[in-house]
Amino acid sequence: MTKPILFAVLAIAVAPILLPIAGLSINVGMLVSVGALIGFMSGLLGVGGGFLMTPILMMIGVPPTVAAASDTNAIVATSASGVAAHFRLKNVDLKMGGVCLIGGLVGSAVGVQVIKFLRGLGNADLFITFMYIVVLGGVGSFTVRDSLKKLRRGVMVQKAPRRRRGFRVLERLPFKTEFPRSGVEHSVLVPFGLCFLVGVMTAVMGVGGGFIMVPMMVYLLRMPAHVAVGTDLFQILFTCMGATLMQAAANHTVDVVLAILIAAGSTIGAQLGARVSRHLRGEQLLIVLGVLALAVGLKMAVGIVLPPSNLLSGAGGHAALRTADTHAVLAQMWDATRSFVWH
Amino acid sequence: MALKSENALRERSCAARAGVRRRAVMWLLVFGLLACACPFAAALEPVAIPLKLSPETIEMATFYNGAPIRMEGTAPNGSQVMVVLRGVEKDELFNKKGRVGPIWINTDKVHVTGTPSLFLRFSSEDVHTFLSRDMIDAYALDEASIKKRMHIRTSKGQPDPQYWEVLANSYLDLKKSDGNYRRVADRVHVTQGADGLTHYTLAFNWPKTAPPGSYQIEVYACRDGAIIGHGGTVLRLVEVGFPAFMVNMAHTHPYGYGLLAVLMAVIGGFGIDAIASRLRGGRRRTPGKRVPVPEPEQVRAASARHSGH
Repeated sequence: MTKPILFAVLAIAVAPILLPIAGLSINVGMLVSVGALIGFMSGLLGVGGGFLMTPILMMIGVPPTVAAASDTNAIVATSASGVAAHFRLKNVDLKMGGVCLIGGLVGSAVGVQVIKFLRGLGNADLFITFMYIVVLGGVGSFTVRDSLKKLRRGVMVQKAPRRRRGFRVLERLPFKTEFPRSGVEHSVLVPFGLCFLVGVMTAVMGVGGGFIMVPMMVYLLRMPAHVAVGTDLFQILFTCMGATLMQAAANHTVDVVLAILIAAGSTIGAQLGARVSRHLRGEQLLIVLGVLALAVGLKMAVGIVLPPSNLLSGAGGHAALRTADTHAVLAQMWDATRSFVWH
Repeated sequence: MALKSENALRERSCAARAGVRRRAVMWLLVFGLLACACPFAAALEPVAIPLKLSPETIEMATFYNGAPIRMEGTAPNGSQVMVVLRGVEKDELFNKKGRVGPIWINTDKVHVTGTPSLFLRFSSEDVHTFLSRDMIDAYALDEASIKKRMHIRTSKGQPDPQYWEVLANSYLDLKKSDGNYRRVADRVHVTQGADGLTHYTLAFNWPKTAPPGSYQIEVYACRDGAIIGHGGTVLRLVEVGFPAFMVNMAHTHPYGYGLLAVLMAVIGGFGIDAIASRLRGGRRRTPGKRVPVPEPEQVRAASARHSGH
């Protein structure tokens, strides 16, 4: 009984499949495996995984615009699976997630205008590249250093850290509310403002923001790392749902077959990631996230110093593409919201 | 009087004979020129040669994995045969990297037009052994000749010749490294038939990554450095069945398609989670090492202690 099932699974894994929108044939097993790897990271660390998935898809021949849009669609499935798993583990703070989602969306709309201004000045690409390196390097090194320190001390997050003057100012802000799931109390303006800033940065950089959002939730909002991961996934779920709809409507570049295959792997990977995260301490999770951020930042830094193998690259290259696509989608969302509110 | 008229007649007949001779010489010259011009005329106007393509249309269904292609036909006796496949020409946009201080960043946008999206050349021998450079250029049969037809425009307008050369070479290198521009010698099989004609066949697997569309297929018969025969047809790649349905829906009902994509992803994500939790249902859950979440009162008290209030 097991053998026929095994053979059937193997046959499907090696079977080629035509991706209708991408217009090319790719091996099923390869797409599912790539999805599983990215999904595992997503479930473990609360990052969307788009920064890795899009270049991998481009490497195997998927046109850049289709890769980015379909990847966003697959992240919907991955984050839905991850959110469900984290929700059962009581790791999702819906109240905080809702506030962050609104703050992030407003910030993204402002970020679109910022990048328009920078493009007008003609230095947007340079600015974006530096922002990537500085933010990823800064967040990564701080996260790794702090988590290592805590691990060495053997201190868990229950100990309330000494508040600096800036934090005391934040504590005096109005509209204080409790976030019971996260075990913190803040003025609504604090998570809103911070998520607004992250929204601006992610719009300028063209990434989902998991890298920045999780450390920010842990260090500035004092949320437990596991809850930060679950809540970030909750926010990513809604952002990517909107982005998928807009990409499908505006660019016709969402390949559902490609997204389903990636998602088939990534949802299972996300489940495994969420389960593994239960067996790791918050500091250990943050170290993994920090090392990953540092690795990506380092790769970008090396990439801009070494001479390229070819002076030309597709105008849909990863960073540029994600930035351009996110801007296009956010610009449409912004215009739609503006016309809805004002007319 | 009679002598005068006799002389006049003799002069007239002499003049007539001279006219006939002149006309004969003229006709001879004309025939001579025509005879000399015939080979050039043949070189300028290659004869049509048959090309049988199988299949003429490749249907891309759900489990499409490329397709075997076979071409065959006949060419004039003693000729070498070359088959060229070209994708449609389209405007391509690239980022151009430049050095600013110690770093390399995108400094320019480059538009390239006038080049085929795909260029595959198969021949019975190395092309340079049976075709002159002029002929290769005239029919755009290699990358160097494609380069001559290339149009490049940057965000600042037309590049200067030196910059143009750098961009054109980078473009061709990119195409070759992507596998979109390829040349394969000794792939077309030629045999001399009893009918005094050269029979050619070419079989290869159509690349499965080539997108749907129309592809121009050209066959050239070459001899003595010139192209003496030319034929062509169009190969069509079309999506059918489920892929065609999806493409059609994505373009005709984009919002419905987008909603479907989101719903499928959400249902799939929650579905996998439900299956995973059911599979784990029978087992006793281990408590894990999850960090206990402090109560808000504890946080406030600890915060107050540390801030000195």
